[in-house]
Amino acid sequence: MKHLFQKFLAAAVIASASFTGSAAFAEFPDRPITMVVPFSPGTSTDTVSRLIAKVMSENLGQPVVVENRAGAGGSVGTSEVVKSDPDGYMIAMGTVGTLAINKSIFKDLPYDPEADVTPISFVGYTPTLLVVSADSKFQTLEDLVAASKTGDGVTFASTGNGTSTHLAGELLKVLTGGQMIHVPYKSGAVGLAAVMSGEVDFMFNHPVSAKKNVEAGKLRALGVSGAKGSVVAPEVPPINDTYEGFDLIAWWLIHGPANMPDDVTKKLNAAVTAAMNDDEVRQHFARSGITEGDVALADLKGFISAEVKKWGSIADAAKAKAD
Amino acid sequence: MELLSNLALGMETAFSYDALLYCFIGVSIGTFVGALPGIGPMVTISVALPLTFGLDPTVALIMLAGIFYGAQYGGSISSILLNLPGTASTAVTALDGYPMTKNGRAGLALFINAVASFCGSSLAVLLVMGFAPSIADFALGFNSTEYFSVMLLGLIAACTMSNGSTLKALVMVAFGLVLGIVGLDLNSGVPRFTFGFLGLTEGISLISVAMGLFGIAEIVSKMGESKSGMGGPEPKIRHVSFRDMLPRRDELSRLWGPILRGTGIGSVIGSLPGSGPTVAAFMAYAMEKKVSRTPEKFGTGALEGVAAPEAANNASVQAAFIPTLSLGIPGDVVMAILLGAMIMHGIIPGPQFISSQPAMFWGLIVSFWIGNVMLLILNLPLIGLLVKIITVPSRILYPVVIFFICIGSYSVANNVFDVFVTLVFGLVGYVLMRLRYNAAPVLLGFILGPMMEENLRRSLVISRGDLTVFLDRPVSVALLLVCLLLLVMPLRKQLMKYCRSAMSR
Repeated sequence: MKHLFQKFLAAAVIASASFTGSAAFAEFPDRPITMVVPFSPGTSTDTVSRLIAKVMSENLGQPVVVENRAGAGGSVGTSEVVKSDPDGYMIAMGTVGTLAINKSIFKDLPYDPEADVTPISFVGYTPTLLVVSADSKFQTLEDLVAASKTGDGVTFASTGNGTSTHLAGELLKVLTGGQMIHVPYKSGAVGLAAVMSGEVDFMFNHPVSAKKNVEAGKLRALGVSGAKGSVVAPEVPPINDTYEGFDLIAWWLIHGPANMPDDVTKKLNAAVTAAMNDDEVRQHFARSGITEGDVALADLKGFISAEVKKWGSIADAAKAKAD
Repeated sequence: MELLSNLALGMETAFSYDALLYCFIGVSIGTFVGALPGIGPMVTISVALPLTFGLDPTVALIMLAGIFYGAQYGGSISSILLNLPGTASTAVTALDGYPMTKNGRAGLALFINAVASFCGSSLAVLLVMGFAPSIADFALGFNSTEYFSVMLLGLIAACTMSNGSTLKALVMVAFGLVLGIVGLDLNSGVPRFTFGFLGLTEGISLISVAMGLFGIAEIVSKMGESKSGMGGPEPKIRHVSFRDMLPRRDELSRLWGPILRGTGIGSVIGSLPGSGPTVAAFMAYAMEKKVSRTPEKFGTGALEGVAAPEAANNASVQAAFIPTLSLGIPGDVVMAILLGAMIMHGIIPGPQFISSQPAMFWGLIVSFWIGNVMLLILNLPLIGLLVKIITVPSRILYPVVIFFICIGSYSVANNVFDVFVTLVFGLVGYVLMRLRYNAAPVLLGFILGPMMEENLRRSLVISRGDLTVFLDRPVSVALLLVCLLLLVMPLRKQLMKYCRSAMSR
């Protein structure tokens, strides 16, 4: 009840402020904020966004409404936000896909993740696990690589052409020089099922769902894509230990259009930071194997540029072009 | 006796006051949105998801799941009464359900719908209870080769669906296949037939195709009829008493076969990730027509044509929970949202879900059954009321329906573009209707085409281009043999006819 009263009071204060003074003096935010999730409901990006948006709403005194605008690998929703007014009322949950990979995969991407974006907050990141079926003859990463150099090579599943799971496989191919054939699936879950049944040899998959199946004796994890290892599966060695230069993570970053006012960006950043310290969000991160973001607001532009470059060079090597 | 103690545990959860209440809310919302053309379970569940944050996770899931299977009941109501499928999976039900309404037997059609749906769901729930893990393993054994063969079987069966010209049906299937090609090619990432529209990169949405071809087209043609006064006989409306909706004894005995066969097909198709209720309903209908002694009655109001697809789509919806709950692999978009809901509530489904969260798993399963009983109780008394929908003047009814179709198409991806796509398909559907082409096979081609292509290419990539891969696996071989049989049988009939006439000459 007390909460509700406070919210009501805050709303009343803001409302009266916007009625009496000119709009320019109104404290941000004086109306609901839209957070566009450029993927379907139920995806990991959607879940993370909804939890954070909920706490942000409490913190900002205005509802942060999550809207799903899926399509074209996240480009549809992202370009909509990037083209909106930079007033902080339209923000997006960006990912390694929308803000890094898409630039080198889509020929006519309607936005430039480096020039058209104001980063607000680095939410978190997770490495992926390289898994094979529990019945597979590959006990170690070396077994797999050795097999890829003989006969027909090996196959790997992905969540589609030009996605992070596809490019991770391509990078492994480039670094080891083996024959690894790409088999795209419509979703990670279906791809994982194909690995379990032995239809496909290996896959890079989200650590939590992979780990559950490792524990149940359906899958075996041979490596972690991030050089720092995985918090969910600390016992699995990073691929980087054997094949240096293999350091890939999936990440989430909240952003708005270019040229957002500094004070608005800072206010939103503070609200996200508060959300990250919320118990429910923390628990969700721990369960989902997401590590809290560790890049400061000032360094985010540089982070995006570095990621664009990194994935760009892998995509070039793989010659994976989509549109 | 483990099953019994598990059931007891499930009942304890599912019969709690909260669980019963939210189960009821879920199935009621489900029936309601299912009946509204265009607004399906997917949109409703994603809207309802944030509202469940404050609830106990089990109760939240019971409610969200209730919306999902409740929508299957509701979807057929508008199919039967107005020839406007509420959800894509009930488009098949309209094939015989609407003729029944025209014959003045709407009450009976709705009764069969409710009962067949109930039987299909309940039997599938029993399957989930007894054999979830083994069915999940069976489904895992389906590789892309088997998927391709099942899809091929479905497609061939589809050509027997339409009444009259097989050639017309073939043309419609081919049209559906072409529509299915639109979008990014999964293997190469190359856009096909998108004409530079960003809204087409993910392909045309199923809701747009279904609601355009069936919903908008039906309304446009009805409006044309009433203006020029050249419409066929109006559906007979009269007071429907409880007796009118009960089947006669001979009719009742004709229903068991279709319901059981529909349930069987629905359960198998449903447990395969990626197929879904629409395919199940189509295959059950095609199968029923094949085994029927009076196939010519299909399309004119055959009871079997309502019972089989309804049992199948409801069974498949229940069976779809098997891979989701026991492997953490969602079969379709709705399941993916439910899975997302579980994750948000802190539960991560996987192979250990059943053993680590027994109260939740069994509670959910028992609630399915409770929910279905509720749906039956909810639906039967409403039949008399629902039938009156036909009497609503079209100047009120049709704008409302178009309004909902537009909202439904928009809300799939929050994209206005999809609304225009729906309208374009409305126009296409109207032309097809005028030319007397049945649009149902389009839907099947549209759904199966991309899946077939995907699985064919995947099989060939994995086999490094070796076509014999389809003959290496027993299930695939068996399915392909059935396909061959379906193709050869009509030929044999023709051949025998020809021989006889040649001999008599």
